[in-house]
Amino acid sequence: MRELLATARRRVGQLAVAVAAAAGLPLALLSVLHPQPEGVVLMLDEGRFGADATLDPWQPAPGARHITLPHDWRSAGQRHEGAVGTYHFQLDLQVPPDRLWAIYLPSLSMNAAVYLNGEILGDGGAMTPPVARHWSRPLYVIVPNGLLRAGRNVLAIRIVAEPAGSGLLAAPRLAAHETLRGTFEQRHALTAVATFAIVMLLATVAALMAVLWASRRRETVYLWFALACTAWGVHLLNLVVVEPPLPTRAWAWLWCASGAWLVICALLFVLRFLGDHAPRTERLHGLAAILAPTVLAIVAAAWPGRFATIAGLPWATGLLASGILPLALLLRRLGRQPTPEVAWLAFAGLAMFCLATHDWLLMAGQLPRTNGLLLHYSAPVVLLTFGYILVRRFVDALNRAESMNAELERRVAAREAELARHHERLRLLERDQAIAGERERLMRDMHDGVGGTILAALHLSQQAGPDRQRITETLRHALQDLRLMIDSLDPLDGDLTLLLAMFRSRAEPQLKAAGLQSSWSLADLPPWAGLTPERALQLLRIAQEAVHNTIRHAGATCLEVRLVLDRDGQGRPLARLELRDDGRGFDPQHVARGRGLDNMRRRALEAGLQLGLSSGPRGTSWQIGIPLV
Amino acid sequence: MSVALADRLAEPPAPPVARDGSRWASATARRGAGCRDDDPPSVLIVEDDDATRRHLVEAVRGTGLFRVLTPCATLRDARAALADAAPRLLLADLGLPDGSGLELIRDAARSSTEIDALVITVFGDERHVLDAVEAGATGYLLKDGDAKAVGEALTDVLDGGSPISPSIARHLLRRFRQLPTPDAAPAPAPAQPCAGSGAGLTPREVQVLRLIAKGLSYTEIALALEMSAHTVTSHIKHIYRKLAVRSRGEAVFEAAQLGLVQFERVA
Repeated sequence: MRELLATARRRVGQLAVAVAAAAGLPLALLSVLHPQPEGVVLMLDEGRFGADATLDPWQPAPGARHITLPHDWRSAGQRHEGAVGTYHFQLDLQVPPDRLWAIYLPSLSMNAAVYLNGEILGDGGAMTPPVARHWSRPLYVIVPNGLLRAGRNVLAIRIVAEPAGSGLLAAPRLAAHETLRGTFEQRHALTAVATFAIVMLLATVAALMAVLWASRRRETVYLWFALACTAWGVHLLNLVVVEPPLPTRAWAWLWCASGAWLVICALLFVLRFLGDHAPRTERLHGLAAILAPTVLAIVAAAWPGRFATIAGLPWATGLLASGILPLALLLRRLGRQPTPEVAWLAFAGLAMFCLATHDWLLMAGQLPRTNGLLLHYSAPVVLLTFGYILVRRFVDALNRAESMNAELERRVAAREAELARHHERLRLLERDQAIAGERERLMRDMHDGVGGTILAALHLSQQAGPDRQRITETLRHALQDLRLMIDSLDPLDGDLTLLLAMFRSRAEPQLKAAGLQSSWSLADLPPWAGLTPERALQLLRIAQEAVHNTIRHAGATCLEVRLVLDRDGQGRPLARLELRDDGRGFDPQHVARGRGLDNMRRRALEAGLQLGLSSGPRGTSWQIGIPLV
Repeated sequence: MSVALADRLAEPPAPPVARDGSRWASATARRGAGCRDDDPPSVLIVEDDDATRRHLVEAVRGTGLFRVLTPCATLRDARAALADAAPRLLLADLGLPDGSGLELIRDAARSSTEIDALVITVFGDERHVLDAVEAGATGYLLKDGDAKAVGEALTDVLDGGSPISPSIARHLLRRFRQLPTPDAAPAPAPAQPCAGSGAGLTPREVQVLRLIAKGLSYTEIALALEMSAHTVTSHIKHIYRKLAVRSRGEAVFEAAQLGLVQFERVA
């Protein structure tokens, strides 16, 4: 609760500051826009005003009346409905000035011509319609040396108003050129130059926003901002252009229409900016943007008098009233969902509204027209605010992109870790499967070899009168088979030569113990990817069986073992292992040795090996073909 | 019971009969201190399985070339025997009831007298053999060998050789990171030995190992490399020693990494 209160208090405080700043803006501007010369200055705030069509620079017209300046032709006491008027001022000098003098007109409307002692000193341009427009800028004329004399001098200023009855003249200042020049230039810069700069700025921002929108068509907020800036720039041409290229009425129409477009575009911009969905309001205002200027154009064409009435204060009143809506939308959003963006924009809108109110009061005659119009000075505030918002958005987008990249990288890393875990699980699963498969194979191999042999030894030992030598032989056989199994499990990397080298180291002692000589020749073979432990074991067992046969049955003296690299019928590499003894040979069909032979054939078939046998009186030869594919 | 039997078995054997005079002479000439020159070389057998031990004792005695010391069945007994009797040859099983035979082999390697240690193994598989070689063994002996095989193996060792199998040769090549590439010719071998540790193999040693891995006998290797068969076997013994030195070096290096050993800077 206390926090809520504190927040509310802080809000109210901020709002007060914002309102004060916005309301203070016109006052601050007015104090800056009207610099006062320092030094000896003659301020002519009384004179005679006449409305003759013809001009006598020496004499006021017979009907001329005494007035005080500034003189607003619309003001209650000093009203003048005509299009032309002349002011006469008398200056009595004791001595003529010894340096260059000048006449400075801080405020006037619409154009002026300056005469001194019968001579014309200068004017602001066209004095007949369309009149040169000087209603927002000062005029300055130099007094030629010798023209001001000791004694009486007469200064005549002729003013043309457009529209008629809207003339204005603030008190002319006479002083040394060096005294007045700085003041004139300062005011000229703050009015004519600044307004021109503001129009340029609006045009630039409008172009940038249009480009931004063109690149991101869905973000119409930039489009409406661009259009609003354009409309405002056109609206401000009225203050910038001295000699308009259009007839007076068309020019007035353009001012009115662009004002309406500015208000409508601003509203649509605010709606899009706030993300408010208001299709009816948008359609209505879109219609108004077309209809209002059209109707006004018809009125201007058909009833010029009525148009002149409407194009002034009534139109401005309508614009000001319409301008309340976007501001109200911003303030409402600020009350509900305050964000820095909305707050800044609301402040800009408030500043704009305060200056517009000042201008409206001025047009309504409630404020001196010498103040000049101020609304356009809020353009830099609005542009800066929206520019700031855009920069913030840009920076935020960059930051988000960066953090999103980081997030993305984090996610990718997490995913990679997940994949790695998955891969590891798969690998373990595969390994488990491989282990299970290998275990199954080993079980089968043991069943085939060692298991059976040990069982045979067991049975032999249980028989009455055990045959010790057969038991020994059988167990030795089991041990040999185990060693073959172990050798087959060695990581061979496809090295068939190594496998057979190991076989040599196993078989040679057996042959030697049996009194047989052996000669070995093992060629160096290329690695064979197909050399699995299973194949290796089958090959070793076949070879072992052949060695066994030779030792036990052949009655040989020598065994020759050769491993060579050959090609099969289709030119594929084929390793040939040959074991040849010089024994007595045997008949392969013989039943007693047939079992061992059948086993060898079965193993060869299982391992994809080719087994060849030739036996005769000069010995037995085993040929094992190993396709290296 | 078994010890008593072993004692009986270990009675002084018959005087040695030199099968091969020259070999015998060279073997005795290198015998260490603590052994009288005219004594046959003493053999200490360490094996916990009674039958295997008995078989080995018989096999060694059967050669008639060695004096068989009282065999041991435990690490404790064996250590005592090793210290007391200073055998010329040690035949050690690895799996002893109170410890590993590797410790015994290490003791033998550190002994002040020259003791050749052989690991006795059922299969001669490379894990057993290489572990033992790293501990300082000279080679291995199959447990089922008969007197002839055992006698040949032991005299070979006394003669400066070391039993090896193609598979172990291949593993050694791998250990020394000198694995032959499939397309490389067996000779010439890479010229440079492993640098640094002093445990690298010389090109000649690599050649020998490669030829063993290809199934050539010592004699065939000697022919191929134009050296004597004795040189071939002594190459293998050198390789074994390098592996032992290397594994000790690695142990020291690891200890230094762990901060267990500190080297003093020599100014």
